[in-house]
Amino acid sequence: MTAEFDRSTRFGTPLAFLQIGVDRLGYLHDLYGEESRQEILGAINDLLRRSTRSSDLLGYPEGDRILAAVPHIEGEHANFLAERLVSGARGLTFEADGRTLRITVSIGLIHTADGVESFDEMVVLARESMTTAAEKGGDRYLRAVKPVPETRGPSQPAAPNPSPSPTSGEPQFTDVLLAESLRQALSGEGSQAVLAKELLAKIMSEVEDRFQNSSGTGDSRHELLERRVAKLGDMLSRTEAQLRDVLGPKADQGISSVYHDVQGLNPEESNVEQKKELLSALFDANLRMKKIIEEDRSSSKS
Amino acid sequence: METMTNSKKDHGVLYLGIDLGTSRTSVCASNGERATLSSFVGYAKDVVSRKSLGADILFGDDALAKRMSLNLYRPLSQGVIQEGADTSHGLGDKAGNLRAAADLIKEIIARAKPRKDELVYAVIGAPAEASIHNKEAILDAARGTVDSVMLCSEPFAVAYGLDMLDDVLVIDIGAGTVDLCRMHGTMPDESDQITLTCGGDFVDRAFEERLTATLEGARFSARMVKEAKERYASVADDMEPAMVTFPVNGKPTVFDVTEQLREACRLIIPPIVEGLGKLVASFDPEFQDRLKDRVLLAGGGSQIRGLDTAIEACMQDMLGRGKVQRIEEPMYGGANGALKIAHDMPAEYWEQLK
Repeated sequence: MTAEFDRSTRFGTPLAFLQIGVDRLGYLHDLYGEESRQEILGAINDLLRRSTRSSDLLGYPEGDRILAAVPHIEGEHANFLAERLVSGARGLTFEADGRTLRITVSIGLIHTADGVESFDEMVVLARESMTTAAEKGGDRYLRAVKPVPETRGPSQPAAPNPSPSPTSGEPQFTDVLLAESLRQALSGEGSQAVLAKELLAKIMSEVEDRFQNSSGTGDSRHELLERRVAKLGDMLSRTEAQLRDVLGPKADQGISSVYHDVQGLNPEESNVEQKKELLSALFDANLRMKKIIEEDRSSSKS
Repeated sequence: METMTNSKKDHGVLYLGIDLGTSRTSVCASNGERATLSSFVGYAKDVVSRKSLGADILFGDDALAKRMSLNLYRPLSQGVIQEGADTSHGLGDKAGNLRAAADLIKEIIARAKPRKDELVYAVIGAPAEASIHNKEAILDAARGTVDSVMLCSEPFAVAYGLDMLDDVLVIDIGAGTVDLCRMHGTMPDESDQITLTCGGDFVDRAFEERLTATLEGARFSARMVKEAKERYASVADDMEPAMVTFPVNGKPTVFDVTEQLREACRLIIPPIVEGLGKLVASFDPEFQDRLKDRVLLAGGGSQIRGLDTAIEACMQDMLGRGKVQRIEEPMYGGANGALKIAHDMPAEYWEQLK
């Protein structure tokens, strides 16, 4: 990837770099095991290959992330690619423990047009953008912007192109009314009481929204944790049982029958024929009883 | 036991003889193991009792000793799985008794220490008068634990175990019932068997009634009465004095209950001899005397001292003659015989009953 970046710099060809992380992959791993984790990462890799020109793609997994360098792609098209990946991941489904799993991804994106000077810088900025996207709830991409030198602060990923989400978008109608009321009050045209009333309504609405959002998140998190605890409890029980088998005192295997090789009547007994008849009669009686019971059961079923 | 039934069974066969009794359940196994336990099953009442007992289920005397913390079942009262309430020992619902019977059978089989890799074939001595539903319940209970199972009447198992198959009268005195059976070389049918209800529990009740009537102010429980009976039971004129200690107004007091106990124990003799007389009377006249001279006394109740000679004396009076032989191991007589049947039974029969 470093060579590709150098080539891009030397010949002035565009290059996009993406870091893709599956949201809450750690939880999924704990709940459904390593196999599911590998399956998910494999599916993301496939999605990445399907969404790009495979001859151009350079990608490899690193831990729980997938790094991808896509050469010869303009900045705007890189945004479209990231958006395709985000929406494509939403459509993926997996089966684990009889449940259907759906996933989302967070993507940190950077492009050579953004003014990066080294491959290492590109990697750092993409990672920070991916982390920020994940912290904002995931299921989105963030395109990194190289920090302005005057700020001298740590490089901060900007979010010029967040994936459309339910929380972003046009100002709401109440906000417009509120702004108009505020303008009128400040210019002396409107009533301060009206402004206060509208402000209060706005605040109450925001508080309710936040409360609903936070309680919903809490429930799902609680459920997730409960499932995780149950899963870990099962694993613990199995491990304990295995440890008992390996380390514990040897369980009583039982005692072998002394009649292991000798069974049936002794032909040398004086009354062997009589015993045969008795045993046969006893067997017949038991067989009859078995049939009666079976017939009784089948008739009661029907 | 789940693992037992799932594992590959290529080691061989373990034969079990089981005597499923009202008072005691015994097993004799072809691996040399034998075990007996009181037919009580107790389930922990709640989480606290489960914690203090360290187990969900207790069996036998352990269950009886900790009965305050348990829902106690005696599933085989009067020799059959009880379908109604067992008022003498708390809970006794049908489902509970069936579950307790299944757990009791599972426990007694576990005490025979079967290997996981061997087949288990069992013969269970069931009361002669058990109904088809009762036998079905016993079979269902056993099938969860063994690979193939047969039922046989308890007196038949005793006679088979002693190799006395011709012209024998068997008296099997259990806690719930007394089974009388006539063996004449073939499988005994209904006309060869008589079941009386004057077993050990009957003697306990009669003894308790006499104690209540004669020991003024003494306090005692059914269990204390049973313990005294098991220690001193005798019908002999010169029996050992039965001295028991019961509280009177909270003070331990010693009582001589010899006479009350002897009277209670003797109550079972007339009905037994009367039953024997019926079985003798309906037999071939030519062989009646031989039948009277070959009477086997088995079961827990046969441990009453002097009972064999007392029955002989009564037979002399009522039937003209009689010779009674007490079996050597009353606790295991039925189980030993059942084991012998299990072992002698051809392998193909076991296969067909799986």
